[in-house]
Amino acid sequence: MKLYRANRLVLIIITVSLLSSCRMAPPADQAEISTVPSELVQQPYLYEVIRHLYRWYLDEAEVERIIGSKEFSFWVRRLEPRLDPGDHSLLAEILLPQLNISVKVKKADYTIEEMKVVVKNSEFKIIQITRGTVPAHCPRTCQQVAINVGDMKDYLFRTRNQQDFPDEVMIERLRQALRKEIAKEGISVSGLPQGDRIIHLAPLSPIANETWVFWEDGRKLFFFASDIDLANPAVWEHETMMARVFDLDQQVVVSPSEAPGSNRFLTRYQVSRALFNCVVLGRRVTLPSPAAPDIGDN
Amino acid sequence: MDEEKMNPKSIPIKTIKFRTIFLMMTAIALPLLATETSQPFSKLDGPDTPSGYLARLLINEVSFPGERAFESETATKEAMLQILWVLHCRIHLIPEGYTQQQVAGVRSENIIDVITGTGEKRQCEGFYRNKDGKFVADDRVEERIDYLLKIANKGGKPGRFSSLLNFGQNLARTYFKEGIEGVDRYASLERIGPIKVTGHAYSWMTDVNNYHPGGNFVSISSDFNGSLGGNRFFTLRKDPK
Repeated sequence: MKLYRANRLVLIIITVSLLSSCRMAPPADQAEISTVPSELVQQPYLYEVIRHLYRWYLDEAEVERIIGSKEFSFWVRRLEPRLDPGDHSLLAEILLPQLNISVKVKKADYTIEEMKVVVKNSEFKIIQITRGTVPAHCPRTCQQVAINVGDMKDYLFRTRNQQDFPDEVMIERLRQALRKEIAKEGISVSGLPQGDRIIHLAPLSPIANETWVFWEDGRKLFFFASDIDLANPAVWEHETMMARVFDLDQQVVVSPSEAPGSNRFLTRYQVSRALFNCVVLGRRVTLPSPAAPDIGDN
Repeated sequence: MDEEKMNPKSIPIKTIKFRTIFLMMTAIALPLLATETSQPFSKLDGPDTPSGYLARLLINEVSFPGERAFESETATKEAMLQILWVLHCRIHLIPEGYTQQQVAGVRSENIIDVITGTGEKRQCEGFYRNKDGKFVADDRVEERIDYLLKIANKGGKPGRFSSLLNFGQNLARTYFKEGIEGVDRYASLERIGPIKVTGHAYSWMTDVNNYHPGGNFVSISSDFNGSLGGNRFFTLRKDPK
């Protein structure tokens, strides 16, 4: 009988402690919301996201749509895909329901053993922008942030011509990488005279590890992108892995429907945007021919 | 012989013989083992073979560690598998209401034709037929593949680079022998948001700068893992526009 009573007492204690722990645990959704890294919901970061979109993606109609609202909403959620062992990268998604755009960001933190390179970003970088996939209602896993449209509009207007360029050390690395890339392309560019090459660097975004470069006399666009911070010298040692080239005489169409399914073409609109950012907002740089002394930036 | 068996002293003599033989065999085998380990961790079939050409495409289209949008070894492998499914679907699973020409830009049952497309309307950047009709890849593609192989074959043990390269090559070899080794994760898609779709993916594009293949292609959203290995996959509208 004593044993029975003792067991009953133990059972009651366990039940009570389990019940209280159930009550203390937050709902699953709340737990997920709490894991959104705080830097992603701060206004300065969200302003940079919208400035990146404003410069590279948004068109007139979309800007009009934003200005027509009082508040601009961001739905931010942490993503937790299965990463490789030892990879401590953080991933998140910022949904912009008023534009139906989602922005995937990553703060890389892993090592490439074979290359002895540490890939570690100091802040979240944009790795993907997708249109047309934002759900109608805010997912329960998202944290909502609203920003005053008037303030945001002023910020975008004020910074619309802001030119952020790499420092001299990085420009020199970029020059060397471009020399190699142009040398490769030079073979296919017929009738190009020997001598200096003129390139135009688009301004950098502080929250994207990518940059566009227009090679004026070669009539080509280079797109450099990496998981590694562009300021990291390691990235320029492996430039073979990060450069894409678009031949503006061959790879531009008005509509993708002209060559459905092909992954070869940019639209004229995309190219116009890249050229505006490279030529108008960008920085003109001379690449002296290999034999000539380096004369620096124009 | 019997005397030898009976003599206990013969046992150590036998042991010495055995040891000598063992040492000799080890001495012979060691250089062979060394030769074995000096083999590269990864090697691709020739670029002029169908399996080597297909492997180059699968490898060239995905992100490796350090490259933009790299997520994980698993995601990159899944992207290679899905790209192969796209090519396969463009030949064998053309949905009702569409022609192969509309979906793949060619009419052919040869996967190499589906990769190269025709003339200026190449389907996969960097992969085409030269003026002699041979399937070739741009120098840039070969350069990147060589670079990846060089990294993969560095060091004392195989790592992620060699695992990814070997996966792509095996996927390609198996395809020509037995078919696709792996499931099409987009096969049963019926709806993307409000749009009814055919299921399967019929195009992929580098997941950057808002690329879209145009026409009746519908972007597969992240809810359905439409973004893999640095690529976005696209299915088709059930009811063509």
